[in-house]
Amino acid sequence: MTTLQIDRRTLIKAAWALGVAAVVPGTAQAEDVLLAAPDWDRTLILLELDGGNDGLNTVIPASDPAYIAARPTLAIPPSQVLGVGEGLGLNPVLQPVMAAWNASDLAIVRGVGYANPNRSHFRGIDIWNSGSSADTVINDGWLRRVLAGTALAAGAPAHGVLLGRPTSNPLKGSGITTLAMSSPQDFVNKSATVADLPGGTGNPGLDHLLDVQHQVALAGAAIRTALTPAPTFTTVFPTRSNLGRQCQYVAQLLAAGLKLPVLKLSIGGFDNHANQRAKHDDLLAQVADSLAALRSALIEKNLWNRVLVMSYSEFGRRVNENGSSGTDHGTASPHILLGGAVKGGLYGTQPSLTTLDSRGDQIASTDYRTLYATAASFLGYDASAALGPGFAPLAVFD
Amino acid sequence: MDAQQHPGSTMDPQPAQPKSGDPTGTILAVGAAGLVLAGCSGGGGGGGGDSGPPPPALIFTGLALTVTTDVPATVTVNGQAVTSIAFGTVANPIDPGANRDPVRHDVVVAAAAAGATAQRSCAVTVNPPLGTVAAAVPLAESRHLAGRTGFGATPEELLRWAGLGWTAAVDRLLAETRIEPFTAPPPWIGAVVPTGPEYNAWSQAERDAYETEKQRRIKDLKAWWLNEMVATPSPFTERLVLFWSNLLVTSASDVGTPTASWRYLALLRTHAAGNVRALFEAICRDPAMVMYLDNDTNEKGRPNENFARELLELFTLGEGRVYTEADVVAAARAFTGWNLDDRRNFLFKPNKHDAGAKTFLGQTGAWDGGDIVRILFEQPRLAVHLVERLWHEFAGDDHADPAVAAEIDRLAAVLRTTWEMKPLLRELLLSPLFIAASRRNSQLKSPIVLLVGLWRSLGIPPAILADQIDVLNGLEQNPLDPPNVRGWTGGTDWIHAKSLLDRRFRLGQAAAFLAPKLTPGALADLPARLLPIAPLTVIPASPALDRVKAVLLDPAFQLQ
Repeated sequence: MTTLQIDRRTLIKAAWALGVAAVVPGTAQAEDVLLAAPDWDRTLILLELDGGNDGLNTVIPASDPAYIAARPTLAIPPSQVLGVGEGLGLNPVLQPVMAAWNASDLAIVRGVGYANPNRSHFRGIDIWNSGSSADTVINDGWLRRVLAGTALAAGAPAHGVLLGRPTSNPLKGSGITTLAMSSPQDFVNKSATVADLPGGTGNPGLDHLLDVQHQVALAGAAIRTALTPAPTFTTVFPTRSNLGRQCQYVAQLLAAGLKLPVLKLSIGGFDNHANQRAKHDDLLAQVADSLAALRSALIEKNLWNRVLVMSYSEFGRRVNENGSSGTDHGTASPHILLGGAVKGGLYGTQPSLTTLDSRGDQIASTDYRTLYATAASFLGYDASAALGPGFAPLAVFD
Repeated sequence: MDAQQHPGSTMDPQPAQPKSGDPTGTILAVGAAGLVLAGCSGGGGGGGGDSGPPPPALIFTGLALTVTTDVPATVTVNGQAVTSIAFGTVANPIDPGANRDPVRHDVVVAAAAAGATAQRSCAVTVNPPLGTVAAAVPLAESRHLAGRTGFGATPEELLRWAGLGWTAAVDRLLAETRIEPFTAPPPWIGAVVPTGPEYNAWSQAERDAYETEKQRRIKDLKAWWLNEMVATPSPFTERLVLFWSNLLVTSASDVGTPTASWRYLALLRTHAAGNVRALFEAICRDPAMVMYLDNDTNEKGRPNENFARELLELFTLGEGRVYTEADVVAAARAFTGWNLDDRRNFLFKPNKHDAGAKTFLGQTGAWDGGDIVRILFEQPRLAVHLVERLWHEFAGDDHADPAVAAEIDRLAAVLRTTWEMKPLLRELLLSPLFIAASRRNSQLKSPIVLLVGLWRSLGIPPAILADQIDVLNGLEQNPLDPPNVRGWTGGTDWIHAKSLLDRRFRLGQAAAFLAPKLTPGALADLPARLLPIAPLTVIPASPALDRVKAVLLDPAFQLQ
C-alpha cells in the first residue's frame, strides 16, 4: 500500500499539474485559499450508519432470484417491501420516510463505494471520513479541505457540530472548529465556566487540550445566546432513540438561527454478523422515525429547503448471508440524499448480484466522492480540489 | 468486607456506614509519610457487633501519619499507645526523620464507643522520607515512571524510588507485577451458566430475575476491577491488563456472560506481564472472545469471518499489513469448530471443523486455529504491531517518528527472542526515548487513569464505586466495554469538546465530594500531589471546595 501524506495544498497543486480547470481563484500560493463563497444559509447534515449498513436489506431488489437465493433467512419478501421502482423496494420498517419519497425529497444513490474496497471497519471509515482512495492515507477530513480557509459567519460557533459518535470526524484537522456535544443544552450548561487559556506551550498533549478548551470557551457563549430562549416545535421527536434526540438537537440548533455548515448524526449497531434481521430492522426503524421527525420539524420552521441530509457508512455487507443468519463485511451500498432542495428518485446504477468481486461482494457503480462533490455543491463549494479530480456532482437538486 | 490496606490507597470496598442515631462514626483518614504496608488486617475487633462502632478505615495519605476521626480513637504503635484522638484531632505518632532504612511498625487504631470497640491494625514499613536520601531517580523522572506505569503518582509511590537508580526502579516495577488479583474476586465467579434447555424450562419470572442479576454482575465486575486498580500494590499490572483489554477487545455487555468476562479478565492478568504467545493461544479459546467475535457460530461450510478478520487486522498484524482477504478466509476456516459447549465453555467440535487444506500467509496445510497462531508468530510484523501499541499506550503517539520507529524495531526484536513481556517492558521503560525529558507530562490521561489516579492519590475512594461505571461510561471509557473491537484510540482523541466538558463536570462533582474529607495538610499539599506541572490557573488557598475544584479542573491534572 502506498502511504501518502496529502494536504489540501498538495491536492490543489496536483489539480493544477493535471490541467484540471482551475477551481482556485487567483492566489493559489496562499496556504488556505478560499475555494468559493460559502452559502451560510445551508447546512449539510451527515448521518453515519456505524458498523456497516446492510444496503441489500435497506433498498431491496426483493424479486431478484439472486437476492432470494443469497439470503435464505434474511430475505424480505417482495410483497412486504415499499416499492420505489426499477424492481427495488425499501425495507418495510422505513415506512416513515415514504412521505419524503412521495414528496420527491428523497434521492437514493445506488452502488456507492470505491475501487479496491477495504473491509476493515476502521480503515473503512477513515477512508470515508478523509475522502481518500483505498490505497492512499489522508490524515485530515474531507470537509476540512472543503471548508478550511472559510471564515465563520458572524455569530457562528463552529464549522461543524458532531452529535453522537464524536471520534469519527470528517472535519478533522487544523483550521476548522468542530464541536462534539451530547446536546446543545448540555454544552451550554457545562461550558459556562470554561476559561480561555493561552496555548502554544510546546507540550503536544496540553496544547491539544488548550485548543479544544479555547474553541469551547468561544462557542459556548454563541450557542448560549442563540438558544435563549430555546426554540420549540409542534413536531414530536422520537426521543426514546438516541438518533431521535440527535435530530431534535439538530432542529434546535438550526431553528435557533445558528449558521452551521455541517452537522453530523450517528447511529451504531450495524455490524451484525449473527441474527441480523431483528436488530437491523430495529435500527432502520429508528433511522426512519428520526429522519421523518427531522423533516417535519424543519418544514415547520421553513428550514427544510436549506438542509441536505446525506448518509454514509464504512461499507455495505456481503451479498450471501453467513451461517449465523448474519452478514459479513462487504462493499458497495446505497446511500440517501434527503432535503427540500432534492429532486427525489433513484440515482446511479444498481450493482449486479451475479457479477461480484472475488469475495462475493458487489462492485461499486458510484464513487462515494461523487456524493461528497454533490454535498459540497449544495453548500456552494467546488470540491474538486478537496477530493481530487473526476468526481462531478450529481444533478439531484431541483 | 475487610479491606486490605496499602499505601496511598486504602480501599474499603464497602465502607461501613455509621448508623443514624448511633453515637459512633468513622475514622476518616490516616495518612503516612513514606509508609509502606507490609501486611494488614482490618476489621472490627472487640465487640464490633451491631451495637458497636464501624471498623475504622485506615487511609494512608499525605506526608505524615495522620488520623482523622469523628469518634474518639487511640493509636498504638508497636504496642505502645502513642496518642488518643478526640474529634478530628490529627496525630503524628511516627517520626520517620531519623530512619535511613525501612523500619517496620505495627500500628493499631481503635475506636471505642457505646461500650464496644472496633479497630484496624496494620504492619507498616517506614521508608526514609524524601530528602533524607539523595534520590538516584530524581523526582520528575520518578513521577514520569510512576505516572506512565500506574494511576497517578502519589508521593508515597515516588518515595519508593528514592535511593534507587532508574534501572532498579524499573526492575522493582517488573518484579512486583502480579498474575493474580490483590483483592478477593466477586462471590459469583463460579456460577454455572444454564444450558439452553434449562433456561427454556424456566418461568418468565425466573428468566427476568436471571437477566437482571446478569446485568448486576456485569456492573459488579467492572466495579470490582476499578477497586482492584485502586487497591493493588502493583498498579503496573492493572495498566497492562487495561492495555490488553484494549488490544484483545471483548465487550462484557455484548458477551452478556459475567462469568466469562471474569475469566477473560483473569486470563489477561495471568499473562499481562507474561508470555505473549501463551496469551494469544489462550485468547483464541477464551469464551468471552469466542462469543464476542461470533466464533461460537463459525462452522464448517458456514464460516463466520468476524474473529479471523480482527485477529489479523487488530490483534496481530495491523490493517493492510502482510495479509490479504484470502488469508482472512483461510483463517476463518481454520477456526471453524472452535466453539463453545452448552455452558459456554470452550469446546473444539471436530465435526464442525473444516479439516481441508488452506493456504494461510503462503503456507498450505490442513490448518486449525493453533496453526494460524503459529504462523502469525512467524511473521516479523506481529512483534512490531504489539510494540507499536505498547508504545502508544505507555510512551506516546509518535511511533511514525523515524527515531522512534527504529527504537520500536529494536524492541520488537527483543520481544521476538522469547515472547516474554518482562524483558520487552524493561527495555521499553529503560529506553532513552521513553525517559526523555521532552516526553514527560505530554500525554493526556485516559478517563480511568484520571479517576483511579485521583482516588489512589488521595486515598479516598469514591462514595459508590458502581456509580463510577456510569461516570466512566459518560467519559467514554467504560471498563470492559470499549466502543468497538478496535478499542479506545486514546492519545489526543481522548479530548474533544464534549469529553473536555464532561471531564470538568465530573471532576467538579469529585471536588465537592472530596473537599470536606481532606485534612488541612492534604489541602495544602493538593497541587503538589496531583499536578505534575505548575498549574495554568490560579489555585485559591481557600475555601476548601474552591481550592480542590481549581486543582482538579486545571489542565495540568489531565497530563501524565
